[in-house]
Amino acid sequence: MRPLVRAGLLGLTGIALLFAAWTIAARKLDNTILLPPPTALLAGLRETLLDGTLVRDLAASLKRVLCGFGLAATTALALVVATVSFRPMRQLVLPVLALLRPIPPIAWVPIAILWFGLGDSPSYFVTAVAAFFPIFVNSLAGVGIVEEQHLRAARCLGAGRLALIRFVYLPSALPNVFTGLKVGLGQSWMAVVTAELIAAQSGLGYMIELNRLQLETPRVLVGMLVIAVVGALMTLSLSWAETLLFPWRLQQRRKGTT
Amino acid sequence: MAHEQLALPSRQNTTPLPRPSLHGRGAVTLDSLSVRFAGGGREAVALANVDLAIAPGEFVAILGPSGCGKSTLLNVIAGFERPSAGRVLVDGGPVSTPGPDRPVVFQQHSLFPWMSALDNVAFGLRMAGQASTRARERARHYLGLVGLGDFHHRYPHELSGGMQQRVGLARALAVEPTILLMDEPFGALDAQTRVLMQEQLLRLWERWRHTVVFVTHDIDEAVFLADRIVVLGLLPNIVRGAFDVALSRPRSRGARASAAYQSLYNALFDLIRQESQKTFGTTDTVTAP
Repeated sequence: MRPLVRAGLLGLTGIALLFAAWTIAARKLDNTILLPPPTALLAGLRETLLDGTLVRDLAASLKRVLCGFGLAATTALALVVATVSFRPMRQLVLPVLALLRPIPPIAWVPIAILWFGLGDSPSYFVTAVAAFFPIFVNSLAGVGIVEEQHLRAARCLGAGRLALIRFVYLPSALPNVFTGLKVGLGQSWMAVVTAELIAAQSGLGYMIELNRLQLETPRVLVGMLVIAVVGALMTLSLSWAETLLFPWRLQQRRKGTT
Repeated sequence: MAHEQLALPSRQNTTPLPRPSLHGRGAVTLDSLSVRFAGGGREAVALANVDLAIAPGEFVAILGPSGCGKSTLLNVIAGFERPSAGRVLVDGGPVSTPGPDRPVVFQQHSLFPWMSALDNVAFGLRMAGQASTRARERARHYLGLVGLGDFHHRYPHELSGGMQQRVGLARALAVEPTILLMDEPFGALDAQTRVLMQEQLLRLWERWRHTVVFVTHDIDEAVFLADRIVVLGLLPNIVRGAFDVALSRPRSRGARASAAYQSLYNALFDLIRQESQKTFGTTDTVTAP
């Protein structure tokens, strides 16, 4: 427990140092448009909370991420099942995906606007693209790493083909699928902000861009802070869920690193 | 690490053990069995022309140096690998697939890490069509037999290596097989735990008397456990000899002090040493004074 407390204290100190440096730099620079002090950020946070815009924009972004992410998870997992159960499918699909994968989500924004106009739809598309690849790649790798020994053990205890899939292949793949979902959610959270900067009239990305145009820098920073905190919370809660769901994985990883 | 307790099957809190009626089943016959592996353009011979008849209820140890094909032999009986020539018969019928009449206890890491000890043991019973509550009840009983009744909710990564092997043994026993295949099951354990495991295995087996094929490279283990020891040789990988173990049953650790144990141990030691040296070229004769 003591190393954990120590790590927590050091982490908090790091954040405190960041704010201290920021305060000093803001005072030296003395330009509230280029760099407002942290106190202005707090005031901005209060204002946007009170006038309801922050909650509204956050809700819009979250809704888009969840829809896009859901769409990506469904298609990626369906495609994994298809590639696993039908071999030629793998050879058919993998080169296409290898070709599309290097295109960053932001490069999809213009074409998404052309196809879907402004509003929620292009954001759904871009977040789905961002989440799709981590989910697909990790899940496919997960299906490949089943232990021969577990298959043998199950077979000599009487497991047939269906039982092998349900009791060996699936539980072997699930931790990697979950890792894919975790990374995918993080990617789509970043992508939604990118999409909203350009292609939306609500959401945290839109809020940042609008306030930049109005030179309301504290509100720009409020938007960035909320993006950071929500993203970190997503990752943290999913990592926590991971240790609850797949406790043996943590053990394996520890063994692997020592 | 707190040392493990190897509890005897406690009679007061478990239902009387229904001794599976084996009806003289569990005979294994290897009929001029050969296994070759093709790989990298070359063909490796894992086993050449092995003949072996194992009687129902017999405890046979397969002993030999690394590379002699002893695990391959077990894998063929288990149905994991196909013979290149010859046949494997179990109770007169040819073996084609793995089956719960002859489960395998592996060396390590064969428990399903996503299942509790209880569910690991219940797995074979579920596969046999038993309802989950009934299967768990039976599994609890078999965990009790290996002294792990209180550890049923633990996951494999929360158990020591020795405990994991006992869960593996309970998992194999739970399907009430006629043949038990054991592939160096205690090979990865520390010496103290290994000896305790051997004694526990004997106590369980002496009540059951199913056929056991036990692969090991440990001479002491083979002599202490088996009725008969089959030694596999290297280059060619053939049966180099079969030895009856003239130690009375039930055996206890005192058996190791007997003259019969000593002389058989020495004979096997010399034979295995001869075989192992084949992969060392002539080093031994050069350095001999």
